[in-house]
Amino acid sequence: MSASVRLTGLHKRYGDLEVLRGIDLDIPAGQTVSVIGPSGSGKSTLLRLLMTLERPHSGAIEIDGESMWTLPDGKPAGAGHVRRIRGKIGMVFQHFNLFPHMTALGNVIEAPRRVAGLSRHEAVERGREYLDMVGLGDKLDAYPAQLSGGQKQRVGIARALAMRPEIMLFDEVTSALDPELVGGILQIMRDLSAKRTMTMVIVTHQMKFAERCSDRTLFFDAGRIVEDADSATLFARPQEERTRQFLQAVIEAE
Amino acid sequence: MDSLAALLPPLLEGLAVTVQITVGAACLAIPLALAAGLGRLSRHAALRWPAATYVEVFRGTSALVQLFWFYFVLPLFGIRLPAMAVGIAVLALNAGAYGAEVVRGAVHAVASGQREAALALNMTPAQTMRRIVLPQAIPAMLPPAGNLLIELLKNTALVSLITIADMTFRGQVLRSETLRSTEIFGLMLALYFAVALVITAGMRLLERRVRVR
Amino acid sequence: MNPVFDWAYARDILPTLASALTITIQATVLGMLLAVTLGLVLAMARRAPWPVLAYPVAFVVEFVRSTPLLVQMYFLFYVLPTVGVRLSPLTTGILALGVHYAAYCAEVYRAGIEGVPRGQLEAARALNLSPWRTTVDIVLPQAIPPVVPALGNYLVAMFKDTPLLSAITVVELLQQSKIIGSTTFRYTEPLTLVGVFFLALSLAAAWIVRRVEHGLQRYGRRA
Repeated sequence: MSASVRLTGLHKRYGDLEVLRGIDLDIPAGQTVSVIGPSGSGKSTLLRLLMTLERPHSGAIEIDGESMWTLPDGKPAGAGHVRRIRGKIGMVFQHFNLFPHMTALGNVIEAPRRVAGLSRHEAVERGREYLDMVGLGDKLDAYPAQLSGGQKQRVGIARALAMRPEIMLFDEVTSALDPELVGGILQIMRDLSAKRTMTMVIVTHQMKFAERCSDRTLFFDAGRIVEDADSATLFARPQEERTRQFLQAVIEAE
Repeated sequence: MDSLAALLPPLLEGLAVTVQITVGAACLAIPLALAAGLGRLSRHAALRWPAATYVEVFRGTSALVQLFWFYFVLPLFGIRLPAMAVGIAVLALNAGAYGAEVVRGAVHAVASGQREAALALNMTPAQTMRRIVLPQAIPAMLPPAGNLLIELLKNTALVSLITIADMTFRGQVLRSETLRSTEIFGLMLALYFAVALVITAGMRLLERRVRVR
Repeated sequence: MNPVFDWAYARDILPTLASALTITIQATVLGMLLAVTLGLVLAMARRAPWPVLAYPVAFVVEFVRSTPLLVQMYFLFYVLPTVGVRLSPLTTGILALGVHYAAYCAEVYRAGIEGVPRGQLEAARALNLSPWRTTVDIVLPQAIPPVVPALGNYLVAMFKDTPLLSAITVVELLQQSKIIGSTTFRYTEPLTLVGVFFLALSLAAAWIVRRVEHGLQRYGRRA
């Protein structure tokens, strides 16, 4: 089950700094979208708004046609409404944010037990399933401090997947990893995308991954979507000058 | 010196009272500190303001003044409590206020990424606090809490001034009877020090057991 | 007995209480002066390369920090005369406050000294500075500013401990309020006023300490 995302006129400000200057975006259910762009362009803020970690200054967020912050009659949504919609969205973080006082399995079953109300038995079964899927079947009882960066991120992915979200957000999930560990994570993401069970929004600096493994790529700059095209086209024949400059600079750096 | 041995029994009786007061006040102070510390971090002003007021008032005024105030003023409002109860209650309120700051600091110090991860998993604020934040905050609270316990122990001596028969009170009485000031106060200081060492050792043990891996 | 706060009475006793405040402030200031200087001496002694000095000093500091100020005050008040030292109650009280808080300050200084990066000591040695010069010119100027806020907090704490002087017959704020109360049998107003005095002054002092801390943050440490 995947969900669609629609953003209308999204604005976000931190004090005097305008981070998102009017974002309009339509993501159909099941699509894998990459978001690329320079630092500070607002990419992560976009994800944070989707995950309800922050609230937009103005504009609307709709998940499967349902507004996140407003009820159908126009009144502001209560906490229960927001929670219900938030339940459809999951997120994997750049710095993992694993719970250090729980084992890998503990991290993964925490939300299924406490939020989804699964019994301990059911939650453990589900936890094993997802930890196996990310290749950590033998690390169930390890604590985060005992895991490598790549392993920690796998746990992070399993933890988010265990709640079976309809939309998965990936916030630069390989940026904090040693280069040799990046490939493993990208492979997991590629496999997830191929299954087409979720809508995926991936903020990344991994250009090859974005080009080959996502359906569509957005180029962000200074709080706006500068270019929005299917991935192959955007990388091969960027239409906007700014996009060209960025891609050129990135290629030169590699 | 056998006269030293004669001094011990009354002092040890006083020590028992001192320990009683310390333990009693500590038990009351812990929930107070948690409530006020978390209250100060609450999003609801109705919880924040009373918590902040309690903490600022009891930290900002002298423990002895607090003791006297409650001892003399409470009866005027018709509340007649035995001196022991007043002593324990006031010391608990005092320690709880300092403890609230320790709680607040430790909870605040838990990385924001933890709360974000919990929110992303759709955990409620209460679940986040109980399952994610507090288990990480509590180990950080223990070292300062140990210091506060020793402060509490030292403050129990003040209750001697509102006629509670703790070790300091018994020592004063002994001094007026025997005039052996040096031995009496020397012994008392040594006994307080011994209790402080026990508290410190106990806290170290607790810290070791609770450490986050 | 009328439990309502008698404002006229409170206003009347204000001047008497204010004069006792001067004793309180005297005790605090002099006590703190003693504490910050003696504390520094103790901190340095604790770091001395001679164990015969360092260990006893460490023990004494721990002992003084872990035992009640009130009992230490009684000790000085009753024992000093027996060895021929006759001091006024106020002086005895200041001495007790100073020594007690010197132990706290010693720990604070120790933290500050240990916080000075090793590279500073290495640079001083490379320049062939003597240990004394290193300490006075290099270490202390970097060790002390970061700990001034902590020292400030102890100043406030000492201020709040001055009522203990009433136990050794010094007529400071608390004692004065009890005297007033015992003559009129109304304790509520004097004690509340004393409480308010303390609260107001310690909040003001805490605010000053925070400002100082803020100002010192601009004092860079790495160079």
